[in-house]
Amino acid sequence: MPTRSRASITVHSLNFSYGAETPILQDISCSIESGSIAIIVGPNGSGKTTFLKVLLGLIKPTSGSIEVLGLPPSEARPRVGYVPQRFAIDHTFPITVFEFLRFSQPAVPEARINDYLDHLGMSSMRSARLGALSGGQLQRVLVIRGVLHAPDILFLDEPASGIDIGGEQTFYDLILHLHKKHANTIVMVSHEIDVVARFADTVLCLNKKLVCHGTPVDVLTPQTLQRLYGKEVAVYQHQEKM
Amino acid sequence: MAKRSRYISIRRKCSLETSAKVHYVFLPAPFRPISPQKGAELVGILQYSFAFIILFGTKLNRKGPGSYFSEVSMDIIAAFQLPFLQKALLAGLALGLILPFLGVFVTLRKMSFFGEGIAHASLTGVALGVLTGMDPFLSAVGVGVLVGIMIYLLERKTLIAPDALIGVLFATALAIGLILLSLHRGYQPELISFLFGNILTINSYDLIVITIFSALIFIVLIVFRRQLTMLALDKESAWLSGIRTEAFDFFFYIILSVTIVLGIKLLGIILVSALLVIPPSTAKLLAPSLHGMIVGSMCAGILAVVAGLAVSYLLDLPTGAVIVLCAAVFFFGSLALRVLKKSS
Repeated sequence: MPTRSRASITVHSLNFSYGAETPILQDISCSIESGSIAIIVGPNGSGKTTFLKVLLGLIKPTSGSIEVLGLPPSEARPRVGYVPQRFAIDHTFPITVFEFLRFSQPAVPEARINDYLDHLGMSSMRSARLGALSGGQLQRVLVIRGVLHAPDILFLDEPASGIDIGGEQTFYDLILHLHKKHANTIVMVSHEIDVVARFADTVLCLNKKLVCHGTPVDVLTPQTLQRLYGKEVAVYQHQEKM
Repeated sequence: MAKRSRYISIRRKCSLETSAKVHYVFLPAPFRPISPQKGAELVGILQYSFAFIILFGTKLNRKGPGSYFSEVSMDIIAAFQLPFLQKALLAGLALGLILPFLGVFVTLRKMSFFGEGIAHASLTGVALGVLTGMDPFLSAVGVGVLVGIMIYLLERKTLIAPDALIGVLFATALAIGLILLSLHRGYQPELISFLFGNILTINSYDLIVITIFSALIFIVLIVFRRQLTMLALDKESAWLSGIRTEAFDFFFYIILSVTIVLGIKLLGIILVSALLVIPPSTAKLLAPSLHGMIVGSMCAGILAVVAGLAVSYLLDLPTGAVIVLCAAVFFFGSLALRVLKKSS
């Protein structure tokens, strides 16, 4: 079972803006426990992806402090994995799946790459060009890249956005399996309320500011969601678990 | 239907076996092992180059391809005993290796215009060399690197599109170069040599400079090919995989600027970017992997230089232009092969 003794991520008074007139993130303070699954929700343009990128160190905050595994984000890079929402690859770029994984994680032994490709049913695509893969296949490769080095924290930005309904279920099962296997922290951006209800230990509601922060039971209420999305929202909960 | 599949599989098997034997003979140790498909590509490139030379010769001589080819071969062997042509060949091989290797990352990053810009801007360096009595080659390297750094910095500090920025800087530097050259009275052989390249005028000093720089750049490219590939693919991924993206980007601009100016001696300001762009584009058409693209690109570059030197010597044509034409023949040959492969 994951240990939850201390925070994996601590954010204090975080602000980020493009110029003085367009604030994207305002005064965000929160912490995410080690070994938990935290899901960030919010309307379009609420700063979810920007928040994730700030946590990853890809964007420098305007002010405030961030600690990832007790380190500044740039120094925590070897211990985190990332699965982006979109991976804009030039389809003529002649890199193969194996070359891409090898170059992304040079310290990982070749046998582990092959194991993951086998495990995710991608071994036949080992020598395929990355640009020739379908959306679902590419997403699986990106997940492999994200978890190859057994990161302590895995960041996922709407990871199932390019996958069909059938593939989506398999995809989340895989993420959950890896989470149980490695006992790592997962920070995910998602629009899907059912995903949040099923997987999240913590929900962060973001709309430039941190609107709410708590367990799905506390957060997924019509009142909170109305506050977050600015529209009246009804929540129906099924009795049976999927 | 079954017959057709069987035929295809047999044909594929044969081609794989043939190529597997070939690739270990031709490739340097760092690139082994290489897949059979890549071997097949190399064989294809070799075939194109020899076919080109033979057909060219046959057209000019009615004795028939066999006798003409042996006559031509003897001529070429004799020619390469000449010291000036040996120097030209060595310098050409060094540049035929590093320009296409670096060109792989240039084409993948869609930076072909950068090569054009640096080459044209280096004319100011040539002019400074001519006016001050400095070696124009070294002053061109200095100006080329300076313009490369300016492009790098302005790309990051302003919102101007990179192609517009390169267009402004290279036109400005070219104009300054032309004005500076107009201040120097009399015949200016350096100008013609730098504009169109003249590999046959390469002296021992040039050869040493080209060889040392090429060897260093080649080692750097081998060592840092992972970083350069990741940068070309996706900057965020590169950063997250532990690469210092800004530092490597800067470093890439510097070695690219130096390599382009080195190539000016071979192909001239006007044509240098051809060897940076055409061989990688040729290899990209057929390569199944990045590894294949790098190896194929260098092979296409070296073949273009060797074939270009030989043809230019035999037909008494400008060397730089013939090298570029040979590279273009390989490119269109590969393009035809790709079209045929797709349609079959």
